[in-house]
Amino acid sequence: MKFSDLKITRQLIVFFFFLLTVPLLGLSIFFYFQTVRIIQDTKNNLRYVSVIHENRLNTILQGFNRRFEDMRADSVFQDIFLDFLNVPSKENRLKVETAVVNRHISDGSFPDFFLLNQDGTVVFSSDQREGLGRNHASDSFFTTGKAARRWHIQKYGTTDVFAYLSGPYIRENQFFGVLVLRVDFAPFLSLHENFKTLNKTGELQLVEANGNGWRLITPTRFSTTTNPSSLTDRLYDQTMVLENNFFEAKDYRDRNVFAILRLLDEKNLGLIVKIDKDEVFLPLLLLARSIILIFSFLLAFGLVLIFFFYVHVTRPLAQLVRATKSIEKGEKNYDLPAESKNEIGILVTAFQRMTRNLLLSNSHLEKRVVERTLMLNKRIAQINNEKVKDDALLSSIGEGLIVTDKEGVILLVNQATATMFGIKKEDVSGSHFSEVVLLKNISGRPMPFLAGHPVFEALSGAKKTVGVEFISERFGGGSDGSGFFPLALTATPIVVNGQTIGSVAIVRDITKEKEVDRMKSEFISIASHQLRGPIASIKWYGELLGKQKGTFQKESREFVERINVSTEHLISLVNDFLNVSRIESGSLKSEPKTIHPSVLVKNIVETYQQEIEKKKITVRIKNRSLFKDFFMDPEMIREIYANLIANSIKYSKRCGNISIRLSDESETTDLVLEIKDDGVGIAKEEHGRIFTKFFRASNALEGGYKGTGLGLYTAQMLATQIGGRIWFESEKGHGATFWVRLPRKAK
Amino acid sequence: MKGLKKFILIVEDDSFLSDIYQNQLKQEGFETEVSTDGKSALKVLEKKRPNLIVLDMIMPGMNGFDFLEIMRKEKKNDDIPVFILTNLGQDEDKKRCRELRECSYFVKTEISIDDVVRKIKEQVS
Repeated sequence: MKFSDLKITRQLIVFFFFLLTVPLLGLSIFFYFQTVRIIQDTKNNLRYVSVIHENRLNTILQGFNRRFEDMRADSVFQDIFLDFLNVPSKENRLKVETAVVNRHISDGSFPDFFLLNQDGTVVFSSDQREGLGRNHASDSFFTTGKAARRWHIQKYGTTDVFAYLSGPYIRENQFFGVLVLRVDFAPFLSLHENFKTLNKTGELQLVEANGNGWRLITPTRFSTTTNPSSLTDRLYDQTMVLENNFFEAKDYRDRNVFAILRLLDEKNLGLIVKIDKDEVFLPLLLLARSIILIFSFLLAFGLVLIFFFYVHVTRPLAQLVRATKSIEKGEKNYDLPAESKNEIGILVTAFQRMTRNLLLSNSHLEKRVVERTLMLNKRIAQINNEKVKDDALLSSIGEGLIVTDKEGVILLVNQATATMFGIKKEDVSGSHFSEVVLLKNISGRPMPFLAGHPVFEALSGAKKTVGVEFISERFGGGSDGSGFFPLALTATPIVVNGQTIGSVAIVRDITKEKEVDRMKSEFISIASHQLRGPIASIKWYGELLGKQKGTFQKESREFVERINVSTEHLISLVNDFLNVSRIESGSLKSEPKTIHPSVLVKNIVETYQQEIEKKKITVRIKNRSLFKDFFMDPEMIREIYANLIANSIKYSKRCGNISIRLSDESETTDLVLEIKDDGVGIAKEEHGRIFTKFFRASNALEGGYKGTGLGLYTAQMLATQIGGRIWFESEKGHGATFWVRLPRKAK
Repeated sequence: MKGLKKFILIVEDDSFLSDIYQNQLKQEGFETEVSTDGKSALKVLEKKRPNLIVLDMIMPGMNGFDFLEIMRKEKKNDDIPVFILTNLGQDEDKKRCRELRECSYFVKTEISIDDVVRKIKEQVS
């Protein structure tokens, strides 16, 4: 779980404690090192003080020692003392007294002393006080007869402390007595005073070896008025550990102290310098206390802050969140935070407003949904109704209907289409038009979905194509078993806002029409053939008649001539009929050969020479064709060119001009023949029908120009069959220009 | 070779036309005989070998194509030139006839009678 995923209050708490913990850790380390440093400082200080006082005490003790040794080593006094021991007479006793006073107490500062005999009995004392005796000397003096000098401290009452210096008299290895010197120990009793100014609990104490431990022999700083024996006799507890004379222990007050013990020159005496731990650590303790105080305050403040934050920010937010969830679940009852004027308050107000609006718009929406649903249902019913009508309409149309999108993909076909192409209505939607309708032109060449394909033209040019005839394959075989059937196809673009969005193709199976047409053609063909017989008779008898000389009157000769002309016209009419029926029936087969179009044109013009001369027409032939060889059916080209050239001659006025031009652009481009005349021309309103069968322009009829109305029809049929095209420009009375574009190679 | 007239067999069902052929050819000194269909023409061929045959294609009974085919099967008739004068002007028809050797093909309406006679004379002499 990431920190940021925690609830805000928890984040705050974690953050806050983190904020506290780091300084606390730092402080702990600080305190640890501070403690170590303080202990070290204390050791150093104690050692310093102890060394100073040790020297001072040693000096004092040595002073006493010297005096004691002076007296003990005095041989004159030893003799006097021996005499007194041997004869303890009054006289000898006085000698001792005098000797002591004269030799040792002359300055008056000599301490009290007393002498013991070898049994330990006091034989002489400078002070007549009770209690002096063997107990002040060492027992070993008497048992061994020899021992080193010894210090012994004796306390009396509350304040009096005496030190006794004792040592044996020995002469010629013979122990004979003991000297005991009593020293007032007062100077030592104020030892602790020296330490007073330095601190509050520091103490300097003298201790004497006592069995295994040490006993206090000087009064203490804190109990000068109490019986020192009861206090000073207290041992430091047995657990005290000596480490370079330094130890920690509980003192007579039961306080923990740091202390140093130093042995004086007299080995049974020691000096202790000590200080309370409490005092040593007091500054640190105070610091720690104030820090703890500050941290406690911070902690409290932080908790209060968090609580405040919780009450005023997080709790309302959580409430808002709960409310949002409730609304999400669609519950109507939810709690909101109390109103206030701060940001949360604004948020709550906004939330309430929003919720109200939401509920309001929800109910609006529901209402509108209901309204719209009703409307839609109504509309759907309407549409269904219309669809049923449309479906009925579509399926009742005898002609095939194919609707495509702008790419030519089929969207809809009706039942007639399905039947016509042997397909299933459902199977073809989504297929491309060219996959379903395998279109071929009337010469049987497949038509790719490119320029020339009616649907393609409709989609790309947004032009309507009018009932062009094609052949298409029928899936599963046609009625004649070949799989192909003729059809008429009209493709119309669907244009919405100037954009072509698709096309509608109407297809009609024209097998029957074609059949009728074929029968008609056949009939014409047979009829024409049959006509040729009698026409040939007429022609030949006419010829014979014309050859008979002198038999007829001039008028009759003219009649015969006219019969012959009419016969020729009849023949050409029959020839045209035959041509047309042959082309229409598709029985005309192309036999391409290499031809030279310019030669061909010249030949054609030559065949009309008679007529050209008669009408005094000027014919100019220009050959701008770059390439001479064309691989075409010469008869077909001749038929096309001859029809156009014959027309321009026929419809030229006297002294007219005809210019014929052959051109192409490159080896691969089509050959274009242009025939321009200044003849009668074609009226604009008749332009659309000029290529239709048996059509004759009104001005041609009026002008008495003979013709069958089949020439242009034939020419265009042939041009289309070999992949060419014929078009023209003309105005009534201003001549006409026809162009024939033919491929270089017959398809 | 006076005395021995050239013999032309005319196979034509239209009597108007066969008359014209006969008249014109006789004027030119040919001996002629007219058959109105292929069968009778074949009978004539059995008796007499013509120098040339003028043949129509569309005839009742045996038509010109069948006649030509049967005739050409006979070795002796192999080299008799045949002038086909017909109403059929289609390329296929012409081609079909050319395969049957020694044929000239004319569409009746496309040629004058003078030319027919002239071409026959050229062919026979």
